[in-house]
Amino acid sequence: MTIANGSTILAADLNTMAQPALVNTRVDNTRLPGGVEFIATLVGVVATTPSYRSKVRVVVPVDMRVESIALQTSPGTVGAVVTVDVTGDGALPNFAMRSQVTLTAGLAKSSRRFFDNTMAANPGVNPELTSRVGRLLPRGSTITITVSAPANLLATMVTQVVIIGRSNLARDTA
Amino acid sequence: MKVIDNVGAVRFTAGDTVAPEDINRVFNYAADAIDDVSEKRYAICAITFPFVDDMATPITNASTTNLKYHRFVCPVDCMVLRAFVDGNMTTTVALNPLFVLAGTGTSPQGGTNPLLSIPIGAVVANDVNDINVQRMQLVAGQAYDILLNGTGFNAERLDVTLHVAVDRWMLAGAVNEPAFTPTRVIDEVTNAVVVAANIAAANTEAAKFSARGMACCLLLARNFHSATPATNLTFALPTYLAARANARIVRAYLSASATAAGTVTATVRNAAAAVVATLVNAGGTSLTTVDSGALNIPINAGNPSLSAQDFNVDFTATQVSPQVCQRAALLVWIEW
Repeated sequence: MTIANGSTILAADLNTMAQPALVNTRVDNTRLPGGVEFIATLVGVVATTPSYRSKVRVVVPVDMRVESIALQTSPGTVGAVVTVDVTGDGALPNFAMRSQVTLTAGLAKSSRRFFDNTMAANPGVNPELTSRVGRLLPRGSTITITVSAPANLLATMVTQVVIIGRSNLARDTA
Repeated sequence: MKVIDNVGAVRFTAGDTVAPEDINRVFNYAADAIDDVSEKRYAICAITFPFVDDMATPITNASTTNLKYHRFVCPVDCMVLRAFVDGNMTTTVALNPLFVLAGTGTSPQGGTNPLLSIPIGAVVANDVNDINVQRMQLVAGQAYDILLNGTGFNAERLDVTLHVAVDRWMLAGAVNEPAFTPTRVIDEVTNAVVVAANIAAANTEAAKFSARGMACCLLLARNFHSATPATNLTFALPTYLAARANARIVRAYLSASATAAGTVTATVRNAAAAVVATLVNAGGTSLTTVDSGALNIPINAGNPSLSAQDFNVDFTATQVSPQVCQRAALLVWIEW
């Protein structure tokens, strides 16, 4: 309705007068946290690749909950296993977020999920082995993504590592 | 009428007698709610640009110029909060990565060059790094180049990382955070006009919430040609676990350079392997970028990282061996 001096304001008017604002606010909240992916691609990591080459190191830009570490590899020696560890500095737990993929004759994919809205049995026991343990990467922490491979891999093999994260919008950028 | 004190709100029913302060409570509640949302302002992501193409071949000061470039383009105004370099190399002369506007070579607003610096004397097996905390304002649609500027380096590994923040309120055309300060309703004859003005103001501010933040990620294919196996050129873009991630691809940029004329193509496929976006770069031997234009491709609500639900990006090139596409980089912008 159009409100003007002399109007009679009904209860319905009052109940709805701020509704668009509150609905927009509620919708906004339900759309968080947002999704963000960090992708690292390493080519030709073999057993003899020195450790200082087979890694990517990055500073986490915003508090992020890790939903999954996903791996994809191009064809390699069938049955061989490529291991990816994501380790962090002192702010993080002292065990790596590890994911492994077993190579095939085609694209091979694997992942380790850290939170999928379900709860594993005894999640606090051997957390490094518990798939559904949540992981939070605090802003400012340094993480290192390390790829290790067995001896019999192709030098052209591509390993893609995706850290699938969820984050809220930041209130500041300090 | 029910007063809900803990949230400062009221609930009216027909026949209530409403005092001015009751109406004020409603507006105060709306104002608090708007304030709570408006503080959630910046979407921040990290993008790493690797300069070494594989784990066996270093990049040096003598490498082809194209290999010493990476390009960044943003579809909206955004800000670089921090920049890092992390690598392993030897330096006989300091290595100074630059960050400049493509074409002009000038620094972005708020930044100075060099962006980063690796001093002379670096040795292999000792990692080196540097940080720059200048806040640089980037302009929508402008291409920026990261380039390695040095005459005496040999890098076993060299990654430059940018922390990029998108201010959602700038996307909404507002410099300030949305804020609603209601005019208090008191016992006077013009109350209806005040109420009407408050409602309009609250709705104007809340409408700005439609602006979202954006983050981006980089998919990179290197050193390939027309006969390179497709399985070496397919990269995953995993979906998220829940629809609440609300992720949508809204823009993509394909930057590529090659040793010979030809075209480089990036094809984005959804979980059903249907093509949802195709970018073709015919720039040839110099580093060029093509823009997808506006996209609206939801990628949320999948089963994260499991193969059936992945999006994929496939790269192809028409260059015939021994000619190659030296580097094809797809920047994918994802709205939250």
